[in-house]
Amino acid sequence: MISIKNLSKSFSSPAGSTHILNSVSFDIPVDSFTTIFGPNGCGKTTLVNIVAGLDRHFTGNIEGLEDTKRQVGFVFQDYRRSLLPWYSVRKNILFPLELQRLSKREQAARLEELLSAVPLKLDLDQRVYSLSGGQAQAVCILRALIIKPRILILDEPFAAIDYERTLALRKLISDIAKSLKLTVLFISHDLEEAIILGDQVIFLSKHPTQVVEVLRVDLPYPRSFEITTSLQFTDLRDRAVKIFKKCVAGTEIKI
Amino acid sequence: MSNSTTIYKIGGVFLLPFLWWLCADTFAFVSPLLLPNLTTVINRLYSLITTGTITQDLLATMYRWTIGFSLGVTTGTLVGLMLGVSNRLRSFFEFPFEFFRSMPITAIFPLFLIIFGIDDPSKIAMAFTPTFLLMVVNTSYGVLLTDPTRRKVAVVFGATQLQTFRKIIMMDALPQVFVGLRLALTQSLIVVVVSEMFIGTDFGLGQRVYDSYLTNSVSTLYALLIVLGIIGYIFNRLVLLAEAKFVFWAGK
Repeated sequence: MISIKNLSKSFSSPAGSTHILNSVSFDIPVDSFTTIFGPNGCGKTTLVNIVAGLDRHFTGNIEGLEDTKRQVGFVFQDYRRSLLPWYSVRKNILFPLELQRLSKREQAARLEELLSAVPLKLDLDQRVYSLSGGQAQAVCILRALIIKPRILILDEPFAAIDYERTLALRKLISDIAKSLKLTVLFISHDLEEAIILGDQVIFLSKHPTQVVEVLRVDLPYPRSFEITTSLQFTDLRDRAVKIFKKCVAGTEIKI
Repeated sequence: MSNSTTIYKIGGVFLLPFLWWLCADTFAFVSPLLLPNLTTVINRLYSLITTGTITQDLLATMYRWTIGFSLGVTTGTLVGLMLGVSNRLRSFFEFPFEFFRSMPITAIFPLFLIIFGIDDPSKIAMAFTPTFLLMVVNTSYGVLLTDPTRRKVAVVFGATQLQTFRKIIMMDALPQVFVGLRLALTQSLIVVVVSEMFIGTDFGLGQRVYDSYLTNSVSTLYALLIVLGIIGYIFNRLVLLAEAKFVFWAGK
């Protein structure tokens, strides 16, 4: 179990200090899929940056993730800018292992192991800038998985990808998470996506961000697109919409 | 290259010499003092090459240029990398670099004559100075404009600072380094040739150009201009080739 306890963060500027996170607490059970959903600009990215160790200016604790240097797999929203265009697909996936100075043989073995566990067809010698958005983000996911992460964090990974490929990528990440028994923290900007993928959905409020509610999702696996028409799903979505109203309560919903 | 544009490219190579030939050789529209016959110039060029008179000038110019240029590239890139990563250094040196970069560099030559003497060192210093300045400015911009997302990728996967610098920042800055290289190549050739026109030069294409002006040998002047053009063109193409090989991903 990874426990986020009383996480707070504020920026101080000449205009005064702004609370970004206000005592955020929730649990991330291992081998399970946690999605985070909340209104725009609610500090979701700040939150995962802290969990990933990219941001060290905060108060509170993250239990169960101590000394995880090199063991957090991170997938950024901007796949184009997070890949290294001077490397091939293969070298991009292996980049974290290159940083760990693993021998070429070990690297090749790890890649083979990973690819045999993932139902993906990729030309490993291709240049990354010639990949489609969906393929590029899949490469980013593989790169995050090559380190056998204790937690896989994805920050709105499909926000810039077209609908058709998003559906395929959702299926992929959901299947991989189950088969490789991953602990996943997934930020979503899409309510349906948060429910389809998550074993639990953490709802966050507007600034200063707090946890509004945690919704358990007991939908059966595999979680394919068809699930969205089931009665159980529509019921969950109705509840999720009600929770979201609480998240934005007291503020005007702007375009 | 598409076939529809190939013909224009070939035309671009031959059209100008043809017009020249037409104006000077065929119809003699222009005074031979301004534009000598194309055939005369080509003969002159041929004899300059075959008699070996141009070799020493060519070698002298190339020597000054390549030494000054390569010194400028190595030191300029190093300093540029340092200024790129350190906000303090960059803030401190911003004014001096902008000041010297904005100065017409040829005006500094008399000062170099005083400092380095009238022989090669002053001309090498002339090739070095714009190269150095252009490399510093472009390299530091390249580092500064490095994508923050890629740096985060390195950090999140546990890269050391040195690894982030070598594997991300330097690579990301490389396209801008090549921009500096191309600009510096042209500028340094210009200043070397100009500085060779001053006193104290025994050999050098600039000196030969100036001599042929003084002695009114217009056909030699044209022949030398052709040589200088070819040199500039070849080196520009070489940098472009290197660019296509080493920064093939730029802009993608």
